[in-house]
Amino acid sequence: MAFTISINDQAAFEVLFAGPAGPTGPQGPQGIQGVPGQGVPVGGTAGQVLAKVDGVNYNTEWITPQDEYAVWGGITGTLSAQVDLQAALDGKYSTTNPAGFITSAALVGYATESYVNSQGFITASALTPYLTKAGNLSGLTDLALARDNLQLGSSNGPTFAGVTVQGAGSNVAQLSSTALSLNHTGYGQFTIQPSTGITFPDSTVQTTAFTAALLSGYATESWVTAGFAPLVRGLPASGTVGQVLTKNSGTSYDASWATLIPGDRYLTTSTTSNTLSNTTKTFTIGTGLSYTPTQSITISYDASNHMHGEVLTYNSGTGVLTVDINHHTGSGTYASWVVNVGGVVPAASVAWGSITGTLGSQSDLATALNAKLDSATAATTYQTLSGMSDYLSKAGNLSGLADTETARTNLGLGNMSTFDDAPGDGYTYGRVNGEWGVAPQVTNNSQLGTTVTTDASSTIYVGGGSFPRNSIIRMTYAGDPTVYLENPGVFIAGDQVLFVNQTSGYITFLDDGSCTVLSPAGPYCVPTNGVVAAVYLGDQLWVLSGNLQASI
Amino acid sequence: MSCTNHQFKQGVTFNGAGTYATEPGWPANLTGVTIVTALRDSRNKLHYLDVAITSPTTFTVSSNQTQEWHPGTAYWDIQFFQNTTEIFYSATVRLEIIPNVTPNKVST
Repeated sequence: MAFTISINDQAAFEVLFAGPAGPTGPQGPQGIQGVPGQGVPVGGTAGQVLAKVDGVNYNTEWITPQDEYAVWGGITGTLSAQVDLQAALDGKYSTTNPAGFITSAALVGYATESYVNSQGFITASALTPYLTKAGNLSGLTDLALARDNLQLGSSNGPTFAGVTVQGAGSNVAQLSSTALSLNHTGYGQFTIQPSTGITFPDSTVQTTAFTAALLSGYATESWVTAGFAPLVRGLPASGTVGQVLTKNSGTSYDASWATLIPGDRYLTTSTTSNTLSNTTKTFTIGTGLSYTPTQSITISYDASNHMHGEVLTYNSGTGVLTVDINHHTGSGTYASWVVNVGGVVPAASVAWGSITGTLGSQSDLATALNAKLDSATAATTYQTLSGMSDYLSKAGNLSGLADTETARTNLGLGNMSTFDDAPGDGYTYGRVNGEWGVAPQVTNNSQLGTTVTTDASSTIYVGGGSFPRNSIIRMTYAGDPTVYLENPGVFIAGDQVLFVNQTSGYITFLDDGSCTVLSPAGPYCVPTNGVVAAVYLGDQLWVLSGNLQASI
Repeated sequence: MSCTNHQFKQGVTFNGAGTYATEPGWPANLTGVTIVTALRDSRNKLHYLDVAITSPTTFTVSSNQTQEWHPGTAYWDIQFFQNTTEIFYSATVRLEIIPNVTPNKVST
């Protein structure tokens, strides 16, 4: 299959197609006969069959086939010879005489109700009331006899004619309807009997107790209350050896056992109204105390208001106390004081300047002070923060160095004092032998690389990375090649490409539409080793120079 | 299949007119046939051409972007496929793309 096509009205030409797969071809000729195969083994008898001896190829033999499977009715021999079956059969009972067992027919009639009843057994229902009695004695028919049997008297509220609790030996307690008696071997008998009172074993302390009703009126007779002293209360209970009876309050009989603290007594109180001040004051305090003149004393209203001084006089019989108050705290007038012996004058505030003695004697303070840096030592040993600012500034930017020459030497910078004193005449200078010298100018030609590329193409593109920067290209095409100068790509302004024409014709230099080629002499390089340099000027501009001509 | 050689000048509008002639085993005509065609230039760049089936037996191939076809040897073929499964490729045509010679920008 094909189709014809013409391009731009040129003469049409035929284009063939790669066709689809064709129909299946005819069958090929028969192949050659193969080599004979492996035969069967020799020997064998009629009826034998061929069987594999092992897994080896062609390894067979003739064998007699196995008998057919046994069929019920066709099994020969003796049953007992099949020992497993015989053992299973031996585990069964014979149906003709199962030893020890009775047949159901032989049991007919044994389990009938009439048969059971005839055996004289009692039924479960008949046993129920007996079982109930055995559980809780309910339904007893003769309660009186039952109570007698249980020794519970004659009714459900049992009464006892007497109870005797028999102990070991002659120890016995007896409770009757009118008396309680206890007998204890070695101690005698104790009896409580309303009619006779209480009888103790010891006949010397016999007494008779009577009921309160019999005593009614005895203690209220006027002759009793008028003619006899009031009852004396007893002592309080508890207490320990050595304790003394102490009144708890002014209420009659209000006393308790207290431990006596021996020695002088000073703690007391006073209700004398006095004002807090340092002067001689009089208080009435407790009597019988041990205050003596010149003794220290403290008189407190509360923790914030108190006075301290010395005893001038004290009357232990009247409790009048005169004191010389020489120190007090707080102010005001109060009539409720707690007075006690003093002895320690409260520490007064110590004002700076009033401390006597030597500082060194206060060893802890002296040690703490010795641990501090002496100011004179600090001035000669340490630098102040303001003094360090100059050094910090030098450390930051080396400003303010006192000896810049030595500093440069230390920094390995030589002895140049300045770096910016090169002549300003437009030339480029560099340091040579310790002074400025004009640096040599670098020309474009000097940028040409050493890469020389031989290219026999009819068309080459320069600028897009086809050739390295500043290449030398030997063009050897057998004809008139064309050079397209492209968008610079890797080329930068000032890069050059040198073309050497070793073709058999002319080299045409064109732009590829992405840049502009400036060519004052023409776009064609002369043949036979003509040389043209293409210089990239930047801004998508190339310029040609060399052996150029305007036409060919 | 032979590979025919033809020349084409870079930058000129490409206009091709094809006539389809069926044979046994091929579609009777271009009805239901999709045509795709492309050209690969000397820099291995692929350029698709515009195709229009103008009648059951004729079609046109065109491109007005041939300025992008780099000079040198280019290869062109046409792909016909039907129902996306049955594909027919034409023989490959070798086109020599001739460069424009006269510079379009010259400064003196």
